[in-house]
Amino acid sequence: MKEEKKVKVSAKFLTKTFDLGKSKSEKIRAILNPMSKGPQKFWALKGISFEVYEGDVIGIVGVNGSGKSTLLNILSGLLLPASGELTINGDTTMLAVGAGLRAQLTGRENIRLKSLMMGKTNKEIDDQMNEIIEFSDLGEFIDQPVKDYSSGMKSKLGFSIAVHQDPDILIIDEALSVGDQTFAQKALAKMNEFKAQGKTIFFVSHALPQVRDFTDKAMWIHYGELKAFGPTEEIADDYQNWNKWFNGLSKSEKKAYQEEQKQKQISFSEKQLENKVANDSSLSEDEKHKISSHLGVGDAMSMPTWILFAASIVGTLFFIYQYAMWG
Amino acid sequence: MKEIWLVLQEQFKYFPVMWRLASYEKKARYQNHALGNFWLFLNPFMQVATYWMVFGFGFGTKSPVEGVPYMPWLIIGLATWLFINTSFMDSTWSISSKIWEIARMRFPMSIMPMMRTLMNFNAFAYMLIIGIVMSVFYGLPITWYWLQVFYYIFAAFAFLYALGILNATVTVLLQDYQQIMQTVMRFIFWISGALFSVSDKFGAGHERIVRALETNPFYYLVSGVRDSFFGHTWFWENTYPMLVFWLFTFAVLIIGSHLHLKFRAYFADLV
Repeated sequence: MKEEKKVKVSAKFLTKTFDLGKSKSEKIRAILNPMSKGPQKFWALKGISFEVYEGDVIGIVGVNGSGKSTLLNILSGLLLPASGELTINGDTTMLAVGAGLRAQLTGRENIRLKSLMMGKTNKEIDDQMNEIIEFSDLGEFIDQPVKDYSSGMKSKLGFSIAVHQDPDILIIDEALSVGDQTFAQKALAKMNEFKAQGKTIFFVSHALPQVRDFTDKAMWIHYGELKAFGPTEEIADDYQNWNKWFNGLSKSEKKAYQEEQKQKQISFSEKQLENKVANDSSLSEDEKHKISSHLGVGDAMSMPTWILFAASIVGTLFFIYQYAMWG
Repeated sequence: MKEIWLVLQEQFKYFPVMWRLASYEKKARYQNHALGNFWLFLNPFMQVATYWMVFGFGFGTKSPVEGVPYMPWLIIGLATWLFINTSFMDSTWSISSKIWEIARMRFPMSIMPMMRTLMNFNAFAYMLIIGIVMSVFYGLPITWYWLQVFYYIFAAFAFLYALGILNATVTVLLQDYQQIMQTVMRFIFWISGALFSVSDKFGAGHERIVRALETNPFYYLVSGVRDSFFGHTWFWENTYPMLVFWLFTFAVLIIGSHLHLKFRAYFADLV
């Protein structure tokens, strides 16, 4: 067990903020100038750090709205973190409930469309088609429009497509919780195969037994913070105990607790983030500064580009004038 | 300049993906329709037929070129307009309406506007061929000028590429942009010269205004494709409109690729 494992995903103090119920122009302004006072922010992630190695199967647990999906969306490249450092070595494939299938196309057509989007050629898809269909267990239904599928069938199809795209890092968001037991076993076998190949899997589920079965390590995300990260057995037990405690509370106590946590996510600030980063002794001062400051948006337009842009606009207007006046 | 280069590189690098997706979407678009892909052809055909009846018969519109009947003149111009207009409007929602489907895929979002243009190209090509066959049928001569249609098609692609990137990006940032463009395009339709020659109808006494209006890029492309088949000038002889067209396209490309690269990581946040 002591062999060197390569780091697949490394995150340092990842944060993600959402603006609370404001207009789009304010959102754009907030992106352009993140330090401005602007709309009130909600910290969906309050600085999460972890390292994940090849062959790891990571379960992610946490209550609804704790930031699990936000983290997955950042890992899959859909969202950009607000600050922090994220290094991903390899291609990611994400599988969510519904899996972005097109309802009016048949299962077979969805396989082709998705595979095309993953950069496959038609020939490669033809070669793989039967394998994917067989894996999905959909039988005759494969030639029915997806709108007639049950949610379990959709997730089977989505999973079958995703695992056949040869991902380095596979992200599964709740997608297996609706499938039946036979398919879950098949999925587990496939995931073990991936593990043996040194691929990395992130697995989110509300079903704790499934997390225990499928994963070796687990992250517990709690209202924007990484509360614990370790062997699945420990984390799952802790989480279960916490759930027991929480469910033992009265209705009003529960509500008060949730309110308090949400309030902390609103009142969290860059200052607090800086303090958090400052306590990490493994980072140099420069790194600390970089990690705690907001990621900039692209480059500003360079001077020569501005000049070129202005020149072509002026040129356009000049020639319109010339043509209009003298033909 | 770096931005233009980056976005352009993506187009070439991912062209095979773009091509395969466009072919597939073309097939999928009308597959639940009883008439299937025939609609691809029927839609523009019905439009031509309608305009021909109203303007050709009703208003007795003539083509402004000596000896060229209205019908082939209309088909070739209108085919060009429909191609540019449809691709232009499609590009506005090409990213914003598909963001959840495409954001996690292994290709850059910048190829989506061009993919829409590719999808619309077939219908344009068929109508153009019908127009050409009709011209030959009416006894119009085949000349070397016909070759410059390739220049104008290239120009149309360059223009749609530049505008496509800008349209798709701005629509994500500002939803109203699409509505604004729809309104603008309705106006431009009448000065694009697709149905009748603008200078013939409004020319007398307003030559300068008409000429200024005629520098719009849509007019340039529509009249350019027509010039290829019915005209007797080469495209470089039409100097000022050509310069206006390319300088404008270039300016749009600069601003479009810059905005696209600046905001694309935030598209999912903004939609």
